[in-house]
Amino acid sequence: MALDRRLLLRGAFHGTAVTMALPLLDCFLDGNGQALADTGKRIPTRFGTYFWGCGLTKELFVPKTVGANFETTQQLASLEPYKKKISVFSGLRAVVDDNPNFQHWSGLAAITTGIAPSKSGEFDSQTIDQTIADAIGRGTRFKSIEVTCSGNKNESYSSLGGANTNPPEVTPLGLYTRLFGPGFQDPSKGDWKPDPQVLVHQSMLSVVSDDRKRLLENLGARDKARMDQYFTSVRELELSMDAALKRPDVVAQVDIPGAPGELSVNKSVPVLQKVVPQMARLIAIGLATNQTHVFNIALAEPGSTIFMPGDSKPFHQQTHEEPIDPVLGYQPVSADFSTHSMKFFATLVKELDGIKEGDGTLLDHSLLLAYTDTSFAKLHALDGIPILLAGSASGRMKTGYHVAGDGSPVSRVGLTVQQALGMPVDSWGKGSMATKKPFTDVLA
Amino acid sequence: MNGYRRLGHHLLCTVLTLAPTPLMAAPWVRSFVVDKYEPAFHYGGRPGFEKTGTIEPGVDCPGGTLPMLDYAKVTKTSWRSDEEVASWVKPAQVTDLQTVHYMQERILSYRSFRRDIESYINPFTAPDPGMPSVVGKVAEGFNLDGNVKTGRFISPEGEKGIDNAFYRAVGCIGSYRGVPYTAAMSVRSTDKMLEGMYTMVIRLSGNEDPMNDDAATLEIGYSPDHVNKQTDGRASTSYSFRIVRNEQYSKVKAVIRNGVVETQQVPELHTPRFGWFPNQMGDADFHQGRIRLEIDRDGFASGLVGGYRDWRDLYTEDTFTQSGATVETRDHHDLVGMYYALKRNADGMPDPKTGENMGISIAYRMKAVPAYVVDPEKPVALNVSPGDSRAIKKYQQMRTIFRNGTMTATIQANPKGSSEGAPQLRQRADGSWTNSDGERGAQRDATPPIGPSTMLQQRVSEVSGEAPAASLSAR
Repeated sequence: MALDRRLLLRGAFHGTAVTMALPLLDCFLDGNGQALADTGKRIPTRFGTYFWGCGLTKELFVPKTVGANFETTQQLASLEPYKKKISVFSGLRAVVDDNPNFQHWSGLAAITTGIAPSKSGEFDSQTIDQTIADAIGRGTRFKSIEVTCSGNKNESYSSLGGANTNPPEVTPLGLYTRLFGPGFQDPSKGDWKPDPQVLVHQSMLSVVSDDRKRLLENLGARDKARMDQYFTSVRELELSMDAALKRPDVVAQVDIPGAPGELSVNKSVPVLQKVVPQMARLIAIGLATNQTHVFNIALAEPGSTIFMPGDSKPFHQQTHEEPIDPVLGYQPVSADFSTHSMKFFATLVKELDGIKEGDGTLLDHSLLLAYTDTSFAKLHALDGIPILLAGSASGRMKTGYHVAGDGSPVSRVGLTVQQALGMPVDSWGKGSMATKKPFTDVLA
Repeated sequence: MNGYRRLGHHLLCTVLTLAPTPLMAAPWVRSFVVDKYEPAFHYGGRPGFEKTGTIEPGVDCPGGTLPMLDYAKVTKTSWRSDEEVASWVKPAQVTDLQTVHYMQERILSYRSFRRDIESYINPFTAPDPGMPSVVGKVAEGFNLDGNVKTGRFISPEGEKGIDNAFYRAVGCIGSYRGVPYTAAMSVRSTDKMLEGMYTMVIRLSGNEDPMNDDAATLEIGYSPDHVNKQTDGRASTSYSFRIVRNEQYSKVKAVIRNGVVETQQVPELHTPRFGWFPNQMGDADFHQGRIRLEIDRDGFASGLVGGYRDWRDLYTEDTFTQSGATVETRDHHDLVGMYYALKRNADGMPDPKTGENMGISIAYRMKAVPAYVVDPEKPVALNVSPGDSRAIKKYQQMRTIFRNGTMTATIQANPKGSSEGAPQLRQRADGSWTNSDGERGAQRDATPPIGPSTMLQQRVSEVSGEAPAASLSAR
C-alpha cells in the first residue's frame, strides 16, 4: 500500500471529522530534495523584508564592478560569508513625479508600493509584502509576521494601504509568544492535534457560510459588492483555520527554543546587537515550522535614531549635522551607523542560512528584500537608493550579483521580486515608476 | 516626464535650428534648462595637496573654515551662567539624544542681550562673533560697478575689479565650500531642483547667428515642467519646457561673440532663486544684474548670473527656510555671524536716505543642457501645493518681521506659529521627552513645555499672548 499521509491522518476529533497532514518525512521528498514526491509540490518559498533607516554611504557600499563576483566593499563586509547568496542594487531612483519628497518616507513607500506617496506617513496601496502574502501566505497560521527591533510599536512598514500598518511584535518575548505561545503546536512532535477552539470557531463559520448564501440572494449589486469584500476577510479567516487544522509540512530540522527572558529593548546599538539576533532566530524558526511564509523586520524607523551610548547624537541627527570629511569625502560617524545597519541584516541572513531544509537552507527557499528610505540621508536624496536581495527563492533568483540600476526606478526590484516568487505580474508601480522591466539578469 | 514633450512635438518650431548658419542670417532660437546652480565661490584648495575634491583649508580661508559651532561658547551671555549653559548644551538629566538636540536648538535661539529676545529674528541684539571671511584674491563674478579698484577680486581669467562680496562674507562657511557643484548646500539644492522642486529655463533668440549676434535676446524664468534626470545625474536634453512669465521672468538684450553670451546690465534682473526648500522659491532680484553664458559646440551652456542683492534677503533665505537653529546645528552656519558679515560687506544699493549699502555683490554659477523652451498656449502658473503655499506665506511673514526689526532697530516678537525659537519640549506618557515635531504629522504646538530653564515658560507666554511670568519680567 502506498504511503498516503492524508489517508493516515483522516479521522475524527471530538466527533468532528478533520484532516491532518502527515509530518514531512524524507520519503515524501523527491530525489532532489526540493519537492514532495507524491504531489510534486515544492518546499514553500518564503518572503521577508528588512528595513533600516538613513541609507548607506555610497562611497563605502557600491561595488566597483557590476555583475557576478563583485568586489566586497567596506559597508558590505559583514555579508561577505553570504556573498554568493545576495545581490546588491545600486543607482536606483525613487521618482516622486508631482509629489513632494516626503523626507524619510517617499523612498520607503516607493520601494514597498511602487508608487510615490501622496501623503507623508501613508501608503498609496498595500505594501509588497502583503501582495506577496496574498499569494504565498495562505495555509499558514499567520499571513505575515511583523517585527520591530527597537521597541516602538509604531515602527511597522507593512500595510494594507493608507496610514494603518500591521502591528509589529516589539520584543523577542512578544515574538516568541506570538509564534510559539498559546495555540502553537510543534509540528515535529508526535502528539500534534488540531486546536479544539479552532474547530469550534470553524463550525461557527460554517453556519455563517450558510447564512451568507441566503443573504446574498436578497441583496442589490452594491451591497453584494460590499458583502463580498466582507466575506473575503471571512474567507481569509477560514483559510487560516484550515491551516490550523493541518499539521504543517516541515522539512527543516529545528528545535523550538525556550522562551527568551525579558530584555531591555531600545535603539542603542549594543542593545540591538542582543535583540536583533534573537528576533532573527525566532523569525527563522517560525518560517521553518511554517507558522508564516511572510515576515517584515524593521531595525528602527525611517530617519533612524539608533545610537551609540556616550555619543551625543543619534544616527539621523548625525546625517544632518556631521560635516562631510573633506579628505574622506563622506561622513565617517554616519557611515559607521550604516555599517551597523548592514551587520544587523547579515545577522538575519545568517540565521536563515543556518537552517538546513531539503537540499539547501531556509535562505535558499526564501527571498529577502532589504531596503531603506534614502540614499544620501543628509539631503534626503532619492537617487542611488540602495536595495539588497538575499536568497534564491527556491532557485528562481540568481544571486551573487551587483546590479547597477543606472537610474532605474526602484519599482523594477519589486517587479523582479514578485516574478521570482512566481506571481503572475507583468507590470508594477505607477507614474514614472510604472515598469514592465524586471531585472532579468538576476531572474533564473 | 512625458515623452510627448520630446523632439517630435516641435514640428511647429521649424524656425528653430541648432546648426550654425554662418552664411545667411536668419531668426534663431536656442534654449536651455538649468541642471546645476550654486553660489559662485572660488576655492584655492590646499597648497601641495592633490587629492581631488579636497577643499580644506583653502588658500582663500587660511584661518580655516567655519566648523560646527561651539554651542557653549556662542550661547554664553552676561545673563546666563555657565551652569545654565551646561544644563542646555549638555544636560546631564536628559538621556534622550533627540531631546538634547531640541534643547540645544532652543538655547541657540536665545543668545541676545536679554533673555526673552529671539536671536535669529533679532540678530542685531546679539554680539558679532566675527565670522572668518575670505582673504583670497580670486573670485568668479562680474565687475558690477565698472570700477577695477573696487571689488578687489580678480577673475580666474584675469579680469580685475570682480565684485563678489557675498563670497568674501560667507565663503568660509564649510557647507558652502567645495569644488564647483560639490559643496553640501550646492548638492542639496541641485538635488531638490532635479527632483522637481523647481525648474529654471533660459531662452536665447536672435536674427543673425546663434554663435555671433549683436542683437540677441535672453529670457530667463521658471517652468512648471519638471526636469527629466539622466542616469549620470544631469538633465536629459531636448525636452521642452513652458516658460512662466511671472515676477521671476526677465527678458534682456544680449550680445554673443564666439558663443559667449553677455547680457546688458539692467537695473532689475529677476530670476528664480537658489534654494533647497519650497518656501525658498521666489524672486532673486538682482540690481544691476547681468548674465554671462558660454555655449559649447554641443549646445550645452555654463556661466554666471550676478548683480547686487539685498543682503537682508540673503540672510532671510538662509535663516528662515527651516528655522535658524536647524540651519546652525545641521548646516553649521553661524547666523548671527552671517548677519554681521553680510551687513559689513554690503557694497551696493545705497539707501537714498542713509547712504548705507543695502545690497551685496553676488554671483551664481550654473550649467544648463539644451532644451526647448516654449510659450504655453494658455498662461500657466507654477504648481504650488497648499502646504508649500502656507510655508511660503510663513516665510514671507518672517522676512517682513526681520526687516522691520533690522530697519528700525526695534526688537521683534516671535510670532505665533513661527518655526523660530525652537519647539518646546514635552513629556510623553512613558516619561520620555519629545518635541511635537517628533510625532508623525503633528504640528508645533503650545502644550505646556517642560525643561530645565524658565526660558521655556517665556515661550508659552509669547504664544498665548499672556504677560510673561513675573520672575522673567524682572530680569
